[in-house]
Amino acid sequence: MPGSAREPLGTIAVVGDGPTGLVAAIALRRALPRCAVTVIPTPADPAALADWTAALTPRSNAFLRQMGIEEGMLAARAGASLRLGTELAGWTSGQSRAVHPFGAAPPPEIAATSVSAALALADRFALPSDDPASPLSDIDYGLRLNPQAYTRALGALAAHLGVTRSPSGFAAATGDTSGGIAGLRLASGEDVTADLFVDCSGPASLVAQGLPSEPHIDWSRILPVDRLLIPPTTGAPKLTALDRITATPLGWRGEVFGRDGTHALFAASIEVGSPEAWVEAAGFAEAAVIPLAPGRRDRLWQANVICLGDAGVRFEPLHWLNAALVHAQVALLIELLPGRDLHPLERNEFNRRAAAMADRARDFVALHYHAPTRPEGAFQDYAAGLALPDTLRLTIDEFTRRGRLPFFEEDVLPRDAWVFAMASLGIAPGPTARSVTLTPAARTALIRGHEARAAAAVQSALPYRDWLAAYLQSAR
Amino acid sequence: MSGQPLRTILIVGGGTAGWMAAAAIATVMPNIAVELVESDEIGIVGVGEATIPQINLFNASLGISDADMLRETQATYKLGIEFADWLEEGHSYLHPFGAFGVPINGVDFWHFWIRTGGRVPLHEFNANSVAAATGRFAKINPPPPPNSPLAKLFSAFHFDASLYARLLRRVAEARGATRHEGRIVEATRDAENGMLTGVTLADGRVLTADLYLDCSGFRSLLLGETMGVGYRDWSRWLPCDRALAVPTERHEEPILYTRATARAAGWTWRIPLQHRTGNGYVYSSAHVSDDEAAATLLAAVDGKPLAEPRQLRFTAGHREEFWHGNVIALGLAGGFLEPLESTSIHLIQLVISRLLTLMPRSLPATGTVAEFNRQSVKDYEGIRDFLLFHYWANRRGEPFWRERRATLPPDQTLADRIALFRETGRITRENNELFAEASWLAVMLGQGVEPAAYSPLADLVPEQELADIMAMLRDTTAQAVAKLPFQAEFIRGLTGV
Repeated sequence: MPGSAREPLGTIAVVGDGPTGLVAAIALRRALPRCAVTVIPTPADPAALADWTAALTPRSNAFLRQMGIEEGMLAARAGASLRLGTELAGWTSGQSRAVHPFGAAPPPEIAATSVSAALALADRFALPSDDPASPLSDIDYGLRLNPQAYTRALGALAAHLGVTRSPSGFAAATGDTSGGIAGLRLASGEDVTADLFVDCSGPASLVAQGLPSEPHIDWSRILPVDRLLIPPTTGAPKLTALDRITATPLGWRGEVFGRDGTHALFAASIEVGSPEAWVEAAGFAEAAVIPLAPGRRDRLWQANVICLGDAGVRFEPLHWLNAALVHAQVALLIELLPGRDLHPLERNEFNRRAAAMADRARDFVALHYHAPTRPEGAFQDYAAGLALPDTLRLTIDEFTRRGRLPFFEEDVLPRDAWVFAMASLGIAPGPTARSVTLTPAARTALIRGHEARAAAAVQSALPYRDWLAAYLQSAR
Repeated sequence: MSGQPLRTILIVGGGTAGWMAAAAIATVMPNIAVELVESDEIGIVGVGEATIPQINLFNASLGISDADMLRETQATYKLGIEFADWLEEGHSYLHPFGAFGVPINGVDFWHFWIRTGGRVPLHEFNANSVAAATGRFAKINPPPPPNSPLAKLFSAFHFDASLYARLLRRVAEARGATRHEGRIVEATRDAENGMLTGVTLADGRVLTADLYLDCSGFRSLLLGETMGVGYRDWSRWLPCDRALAVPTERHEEPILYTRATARAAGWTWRIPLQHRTGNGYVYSSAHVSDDEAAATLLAAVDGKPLAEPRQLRFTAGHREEFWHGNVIALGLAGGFLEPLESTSIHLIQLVISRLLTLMPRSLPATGTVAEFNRQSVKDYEGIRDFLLFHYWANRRGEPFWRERRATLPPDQTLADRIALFRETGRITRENNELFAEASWLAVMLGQGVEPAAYSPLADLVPEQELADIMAMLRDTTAQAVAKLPFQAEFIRGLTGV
């Protein structure tokens, strides 16, 4: 076996000093302790949604742990609190309310409240159990963070790991003759070269701008939101395990109930309403209007530049999936980490799988505009008239006809999340082989068993407020 | 929803494909009436006597136990396939089921193995290989903990296909499937919508159904002959077009693997059963005469032949659609890929499970049919590429083999896969395709494709630590397997014979 060591990456320049860039830098530095990783600051861009996400999904828990970004540290220093899911208000009719929890879905043959949802509705909380017999093994949680404090905490950790932070900001990227980037010019006039450039600069994609032009895939005929309203200050804090997404006739309002404050935003479309009408519908006193061009780069890794976060993929933050997608793509990059010789086939494989992740997140968001019934509203009408991607059509079709969710490679959402999304949108599963053969008595027993399980979990859990107080005590 | 509700299915042809379908549908969809028509006059081909581990899922879903298999189909356990003389004369390797080693710090084990220069043979880190080499095997109940080396011991069966069909027939009939005896003389289509309207038997009976499953073998009576669906011919890539099969007396305890031995114009199989050994020669008629092939086969077998060699003829490839109108083809009626990787039974199983998940509630179901066909073609292409790789990477001297070295599939996927492994040690797996990373690893290394590098992350584990981990993995695998009984003892324990 002649296998020889590949010369590892010696230098990596990460452009962008928000959470996206810092998480990428930490992950790369941990993977390659001898590699010089430099973070180059860029101007904070409110349109970099992955950087401002105040909420994560359960999938990020394991990722952050692997990267040595400990939950206790985030609780102590980044304002972290824990969430069991999201309440969807007004999505199937004006008055509708549904809980979209994390964790395991009940058996598909019965329509029942999941253990996480039962806990959330009772305003209680417990950590998941790894004993499959315990009903608490059915629950899972995501993190909420204060974006500014999170950025500071990640910056401190990166520095501790030996990631260099350039004192001077980004000024320009220079292309080379082979379709890649030769180097970066900093504001100080200094030049920076690297084996690999990671563009985390938000939608401006400052490094990728220096590449030969790359086709963009436009999602504006699939996802309705192209304007975001962000109020200048956070609202009052609220202690609850559920965040909320409320549909209004002019767009949807998202609220993450952090213990540091309520992080609200309003998502709208230029096709429906006006900035004044949006502010009113959002219930904000004032708000900055930020444009969003939904879509992604065709190849997220082109030559020696990898685009992460909004530099590569931009989509409305419904269910706050933007940072979750970054984490999945960073994990993929680490798995396929190249040597100094960037291999084109490794790059192709990254692009294939990273694109599959992005497209599936897009489908998950788009699903919310195709509920069988929708409230009255110009925004809803506009959104429902948009195109349904073939992959999403197949998903809905298989689910409604046969209670089955087709497999998609690199789905960033677990199967249960799709089941919960369908349920919260009133999309009922079709009959399965099991559901057809289930006798009424067996069905009743299944429901009873599940209800008992949920009740036992609620019984054993603490009120959310008390639980959180104890958790924060121990984190300090 | 409009259209004709789907209430009845007629399966045309018994054999393994027909009875697998009948038993599965009768079990899972009791509200659909399943009928099967077969003729005792028409023989069963029964090429597929070796399987892959997915067969266990199929049996489990029907409630067929290992004891049933061992008692009723003369089955033995199978842990992999040995490829003898395939790279060159005198060389051999095992393609085992199951993984090699365990990932270290999230990096696949083989990268570390490449880093250590492959000093310790890779198969010592694979429970299947160690068990196959020692003849020891047991299915442990309850299953071993996930960190046990035996948790990755995966098995399939060798079995007598006609006995398996008989077992499935009993299951199907017990669950309400109806069998008709008779030879089909005609199948008719609706002149307007092109749907199949029924089949007429030699005695004049006419059988009709909402959906027809064509299990008529190579003839493809319904899908090919009647519906006129064309055949995508892959013989340019896989030129073997004939096989000779002969059973021989068993003269040793059955071994735990199938053997595929390369020959001048193809390859021979050896499948050990409890009562006899199955043998055959898959060859290209353009490269060797039938007589020469028969002589090669009879010289190769290691027991007394129990019958005259029987010939089969085929063309590698598949029907352009597997489902057309109200007809779905299973097994040989849908396509043929030589059983080099024991995929014949699995290809039937895939169609059945696809049908059960996509079963429309009424017909026509255009969207479902398109999806069904798309997935089915992917299956065939994936297996074709894997087979082609075995042929492509050879160093043999015969004209047949020299031509194989120049034959890669029509698209770039396989060439990229080989290049990526060669240059970086990475193996990709697209969309849950049948053969996982470990299979490609075993066969790529076995066929002499050597990686020039490995993941840069594999360098991060200190040398001594890595040496300790590898020694531990190898020792625990060897120790765990050494405690297993020999296969024959285990089979006796299950069957009580």
